[in-house]
Amino acid sequence: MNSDKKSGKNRSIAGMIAVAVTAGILLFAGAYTALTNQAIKETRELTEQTLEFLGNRVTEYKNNVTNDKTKSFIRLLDKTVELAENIEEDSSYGGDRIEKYAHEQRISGVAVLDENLEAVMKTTGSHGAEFFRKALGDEALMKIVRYKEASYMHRIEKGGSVVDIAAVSRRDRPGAVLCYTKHNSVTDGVNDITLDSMFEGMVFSRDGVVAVTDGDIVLASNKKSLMGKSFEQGKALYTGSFSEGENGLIKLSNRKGDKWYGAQEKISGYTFMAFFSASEIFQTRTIVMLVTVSAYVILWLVFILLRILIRRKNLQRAEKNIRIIESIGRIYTTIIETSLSDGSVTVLKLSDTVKKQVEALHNIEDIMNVAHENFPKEDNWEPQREFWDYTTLAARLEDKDSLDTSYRNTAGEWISLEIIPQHRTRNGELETVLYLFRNITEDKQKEFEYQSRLRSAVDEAQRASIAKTDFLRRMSHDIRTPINGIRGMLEIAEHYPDDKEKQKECRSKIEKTSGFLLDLVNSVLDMNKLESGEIKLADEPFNLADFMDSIDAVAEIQAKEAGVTYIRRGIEAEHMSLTGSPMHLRQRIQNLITNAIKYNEAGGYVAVSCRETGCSEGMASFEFVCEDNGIGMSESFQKHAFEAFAQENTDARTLYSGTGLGLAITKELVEVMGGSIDMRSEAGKGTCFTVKMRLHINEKSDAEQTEPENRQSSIAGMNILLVEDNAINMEIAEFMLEDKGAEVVTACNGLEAVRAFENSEEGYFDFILMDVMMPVMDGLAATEQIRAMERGDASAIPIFAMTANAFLDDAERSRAAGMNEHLTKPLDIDRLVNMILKYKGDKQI
Amino acid sequence: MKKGKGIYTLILIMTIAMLCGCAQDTAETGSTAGLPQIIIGSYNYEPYNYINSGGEFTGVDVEIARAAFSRMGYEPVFKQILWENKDEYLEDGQVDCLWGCFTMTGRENRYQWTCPYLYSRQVAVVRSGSDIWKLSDLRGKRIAVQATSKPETLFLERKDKHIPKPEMVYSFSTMDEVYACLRKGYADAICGHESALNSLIKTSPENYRMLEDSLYTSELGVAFGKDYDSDFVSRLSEVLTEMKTDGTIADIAEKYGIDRQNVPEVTDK
Repeated sequence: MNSDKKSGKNRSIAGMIAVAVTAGILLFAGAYTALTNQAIKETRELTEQTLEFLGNRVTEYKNNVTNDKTKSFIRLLDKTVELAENIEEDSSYGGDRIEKYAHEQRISGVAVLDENLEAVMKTTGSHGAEFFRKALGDEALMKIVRYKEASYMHRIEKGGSVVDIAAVSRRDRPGAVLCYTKHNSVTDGVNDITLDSMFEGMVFSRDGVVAVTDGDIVLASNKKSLMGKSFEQGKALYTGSFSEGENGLIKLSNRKGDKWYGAQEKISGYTFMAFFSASEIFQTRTIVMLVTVSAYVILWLVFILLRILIRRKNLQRAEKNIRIIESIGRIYTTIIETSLSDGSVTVLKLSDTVKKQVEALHNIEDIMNVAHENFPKEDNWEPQREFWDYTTLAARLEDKDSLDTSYRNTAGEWISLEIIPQHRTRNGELETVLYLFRNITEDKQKEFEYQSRLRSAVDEAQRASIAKTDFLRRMSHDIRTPINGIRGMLEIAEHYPDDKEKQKECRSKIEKTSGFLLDLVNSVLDMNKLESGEIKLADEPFNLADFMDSIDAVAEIQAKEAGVTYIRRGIEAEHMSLTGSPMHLRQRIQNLITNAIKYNEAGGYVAVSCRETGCSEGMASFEFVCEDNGIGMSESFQKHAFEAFAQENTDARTLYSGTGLGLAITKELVEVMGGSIDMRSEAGKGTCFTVKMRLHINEKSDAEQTEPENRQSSIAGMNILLVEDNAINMEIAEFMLEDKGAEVVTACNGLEAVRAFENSEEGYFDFILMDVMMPVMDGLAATEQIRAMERGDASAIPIFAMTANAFLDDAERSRAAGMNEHLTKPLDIDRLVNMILKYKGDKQI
Repeated sequence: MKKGKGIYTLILIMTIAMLCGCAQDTAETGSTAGLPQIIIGSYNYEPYNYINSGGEFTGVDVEIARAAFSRMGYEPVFKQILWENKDEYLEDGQVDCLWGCFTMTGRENRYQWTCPYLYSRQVAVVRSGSDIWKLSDLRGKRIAVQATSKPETLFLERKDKHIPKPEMVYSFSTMDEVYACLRKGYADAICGHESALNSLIKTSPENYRMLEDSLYTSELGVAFGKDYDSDFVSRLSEVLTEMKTDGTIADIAEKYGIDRQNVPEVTDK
């Protein structure tokens, strides 16, 4: 195709050059001929004018000469008539008188002839009768003799002398009177105009040469070289025939090769000639031709150059367009141009998959049939057939830029078919359209994936919404239940004021129930923290043996209460000193153990073990196993066991009093700590949970960890500043601290606390317990003021925050204000004491 | 590309058209080669039969002969002969006919004549201011003529009563002298052949005037030998009649300074 184009281009350039040259030759030939004709025509006119000028000048000259001659004739004739009359009057007019008359009248000679033309009288020494008879002829003389009115005047030029003769009738008798004058023809006067000098030195345009000849010699010319030459000699200077050519001009050339154009004309005995130099005549032609040729060549060069430039530009534009179209076309696997008049097609692009089927087809209907073959039999082909129908396209595309459809073929591919108008006639009728095919299987898949994702997102949102509603419903139930229990127990206690056993039982049940309530709130909070990613894991050292001991201690009590046997399987570990977040880990393992005890039956067992499975890169892997032979879980529940609020048997709620959050939190937290949890269970046979966890090995010696042993073990005698705005909480806290033997000073808000501290002696207070949210001045501001005081104990005194807010940011805020610890209500007095002692101990060391 | 081709074609066509236009200017009519020849005997007599500066026969008689024979399908060949020996040429068959301002008057029976094709007139010319208007006004006037010419004879012999008696007849050897005579006022009128005097008037029409009446009119014809093919002669007569009728002869005559009225009227036979 490229080479075709190129050869076409070459052909067009060659054609253009051929046309340019041919047209040029024709044009130049035409111009040459026209200019030649024009020059010849001009020369003809010039020749005519010149010849006319020559003729006029010669005629004028001749007229002058003739006038002069005639004047002489008439003067002579008058004298002759007078003489004849004298003779008539005087019959004795004889020789002497005639002699005398001739002398007086300056007449050279006189003769009187009789009717026989014999001289009867004559001047002496002059010509006689023979001379006149010879000069005028007898016939003419006889006429004069015979007719009185007749006269004759004649000139004889001979040997440089001129003889004028006049003859009239003799008046007295038949005869003739003749006079003649004789003078030299040589002119010597300055004013005499002579023919030979007439054109001497004259300059004619176009380097013209003129000559006048009487046929024998050149009488006059403007060229000295021609003057005086005989006509033949003059002619011999030039070559060429002295006859007119086709153009009405005679063409001559001289020996030097110069060419001349001109003409000759015979007027009353003279031949006039005028010739003009060819180089002068054709000067204009030469110049015009030169200019024309140059202009023509330049014009064509410019034209060709422009064409090349325009073509190149067009080509570049076209190439760019083609590139654009090709890039756009790449989107489509198949492109078919279809004529709306008969459905005939031009295939512009064909995908490999349909190449064999479609290649040989020439009508869109045939191609449609191929598509039909590839169309699943079970799908409805009719809408597709209607879409393909080219006969209705003009109407369908009237107010649309394109039509599109998509379908799945038997190969399972999704095919998109677009029909766009391609060409319209001048009156807007649609002539051709493009059928554009595209494989959109991938797009479709993405679309389906997206749709399914969307669906699952909606499902999830619905589930979450349901879960939330469910959660609230359960909360109201789960919170209400223990509160009912507490209030019910208080009522029973009220009923038996003196029965100490009953009172104790009631208090014990209240404590248990409220503990459950606290658990529930803590769990919910933990869950929330986990879900929002707020959980902060500690990185503190701990001893695995102590850790397991504390777990076993609690578990044994719980198991005993539930009538379940708790089996300590012990620890198999190389590394005992570790760092991590023991609090969280303990909570979760305890949760598993609690569940194992809870969902057990009397006589069942719970076995707990801890085993180190390996260590690397400063970390040890542990496996905590909690196994029981309790009620187990059904297979279907196992799938949901780790979901929030999942409890297999709703009956179990009352029976086993769980929140349904434990396992969910455990799983989440274990995963947050980088571990995993596994479960094996069989309904009615028991459950086995395995927690795998990697923990950092503490490189410091265990000895350092043991220093709390040296601590003071009691807070008795310590002076504590208790700041609390809630009277009940104040009372509880004051009671608990005083119960442990501490001296308590109370303050109702932050300001009071600041004053109390200010007014105390330095070192008086060992401790400050500060509520955070208080009227007048909150705990944070109060702490900041205390810490800012200029006294020795201002910065050193431990200040513990007490708050019902268990969120992490609260803890951070209290630490930022200068507090040492953050305790959540309700206060765990043992934990508080331990913490106070830790601080006091630190201080002491 | 199509458009481009169109432009080239246009340029070509225009150029060719231009050339053709030029060629037409220089086109020549074809020769009459191959036609039977008719040899015409004549003598040099302007403006009837003479050789022009190009060496070609030309004149009133030449053109009429060419036109007539061309119509008949012959090619005329002109031959200048010694006019005195004209009868011998005819008898020998060296010429087919005599055609050179040849006056029929007085020679009617000596030859086989065609119909007259032109009149030859002798006229008088005066100066514009002259009070001579008619022939009779020439009475007692000085008249210049060429010696031995028809007018000289007319005025001297005065056989025709229309010709008045002049005071004097000035005879000159050449017409130039006759013209000078009128120019300078030496003569009141000059007389001569119409075509010659017309050429004088043409040189300065404002100065001269030709009298309407002619002095003498003769009929010009084409003379063949007595035993020449009479059919041919009558066919030539027919053609000449045709040419008189259609104005061909008048057009030719006018070109050479001869009035159209010199073409004889065609009368029914």
